[in-house]
Amino acid sequence: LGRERDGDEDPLDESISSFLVRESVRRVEGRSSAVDVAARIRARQRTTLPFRTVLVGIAAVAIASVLAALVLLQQPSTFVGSSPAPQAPPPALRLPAVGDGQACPVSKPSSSQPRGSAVLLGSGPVTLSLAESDGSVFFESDRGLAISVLWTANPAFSGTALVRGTRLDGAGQVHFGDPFDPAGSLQLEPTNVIAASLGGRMLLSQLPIRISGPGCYGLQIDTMGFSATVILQARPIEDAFAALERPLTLPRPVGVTCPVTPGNHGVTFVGGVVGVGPVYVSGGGGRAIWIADPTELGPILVRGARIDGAGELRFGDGTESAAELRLPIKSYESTEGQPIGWRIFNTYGVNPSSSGCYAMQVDTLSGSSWIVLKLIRTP
Amino acid sequence: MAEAVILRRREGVTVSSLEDLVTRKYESLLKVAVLVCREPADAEDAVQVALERAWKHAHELRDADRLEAWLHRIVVREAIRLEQRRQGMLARWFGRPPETIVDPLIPHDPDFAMRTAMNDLPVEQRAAIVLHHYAGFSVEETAELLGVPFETLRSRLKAARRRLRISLGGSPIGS
Repeated sequence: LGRERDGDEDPLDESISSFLVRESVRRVEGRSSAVDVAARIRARQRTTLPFRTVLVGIAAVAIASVLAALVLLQQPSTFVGSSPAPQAPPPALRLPAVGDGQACPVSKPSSSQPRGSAVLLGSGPVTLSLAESDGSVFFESDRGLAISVLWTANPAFSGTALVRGTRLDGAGQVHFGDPFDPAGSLQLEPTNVIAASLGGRMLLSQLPIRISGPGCYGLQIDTMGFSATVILQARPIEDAFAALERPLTLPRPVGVTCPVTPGNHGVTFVGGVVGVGPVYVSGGGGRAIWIADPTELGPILVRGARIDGAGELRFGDGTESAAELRLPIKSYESTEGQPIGWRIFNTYGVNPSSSGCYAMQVDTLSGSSWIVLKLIRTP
Repeated sequence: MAEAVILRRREGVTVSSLEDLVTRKYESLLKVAVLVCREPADAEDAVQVALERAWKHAHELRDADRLEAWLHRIVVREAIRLEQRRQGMLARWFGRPPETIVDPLIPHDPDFAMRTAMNDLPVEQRAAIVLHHYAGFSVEETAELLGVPFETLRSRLKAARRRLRISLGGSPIGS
């Protein structure tokens, strides 16, 4: 097999590969044959189709009954009064339509993190936490039109939540998870909790919401005895970066002293971290790693300049370098050794045009912060 | 799903029926699945789910050259899901940490140390190792298959190698 290695040649690799080849042969000895498996799939297809037809019929009757009851009772559509039994057909979607020229009735945050950019949406036990600004949330095109989300629940939640959605102001769908194998609904259960406590809530999932483009989208989160609606106005993340282009207000040197930002010893999973948060930097040798803490979910814009003389600061490598560094929202997934909710961005080149005292302004949806470093230009 | 659907793959192979698809893909996918989830019965289930889904949705696959990756993606994710479910059930039933599957010690089994070390890896790390070191996917492809960012996958592979090295200690590797 042609193999592109990850660049870290390791004598252990060959041992791993040869072991896996031997082990794979040993472990599949005596298993079902391909013919048996094909026959099983055929049999399932034969039995599944009529069963599905029956299910569709049952679902249609149930939906019609619920709609009839609603008309009779003239109830508001946000909540359902009855509890969805675990095996019952899911409750019908009750999301409002948004006509041409109508504003998207975006959900108000039920609470906000201290710095304001990470909002909690949803009025039920299961909520979603995501980056928001002025009622808009942001999707990233290079990640398959994905809105990054943290699905959280209150610590007492013990049931199952079913999340579905659709576009409200035009044609468009909502999917979840894998862009190549998207699911039309998301089922959340506290059986595989990622973190027992993130801001006082259980972190259930980090699967993104996949949409079909900018627009107004509605989500319905059904749990036992409760149905909540969340409405989002989705915009491309480029709009968020444009909003972050605030005027540069860099600190000035104190006399001849460079006001270097002290190291942060509270962040221990990466060494040599500088900054007071929510965005931190570490690195050396002309490269930097950027780190965001759990309160900062949104995109990050970094720009800077020399403050004790003439000098420019560019980010990136070679011809790819630019005067600003755009850190996308990115997945909220954490890796081993990385605390839940923290994000580490790829390493980026930091290229000062001359050695000196440099300040960097870090703009996020929640505000601005500054980091000052002495940088030495290397040949 | 019409039987007439023909999947054209990069090397010009055509797959013209469910039986043909299963015959071509079953064994290689089963090996990947069993290396990830360790339990052969679960591995069979994962592969059956993948092949069934692939055949059902074959007409939706816009780029037929992606069949291989598509199948691996479904198989590995299903294998991870089944492994996590089994670990969770074991923990609930026995009230102890998830077990480590180690086959009865075969005298002079040269792979015993490596097998134990691989079994001790978290399933996400084991899946990354299997896709990269066994199935031959690049780091980028493996990251895409597992639905994680490139840097995350690199970290995961490094962490897995570090754990393997620690677990293997001073024992001869694969000797």
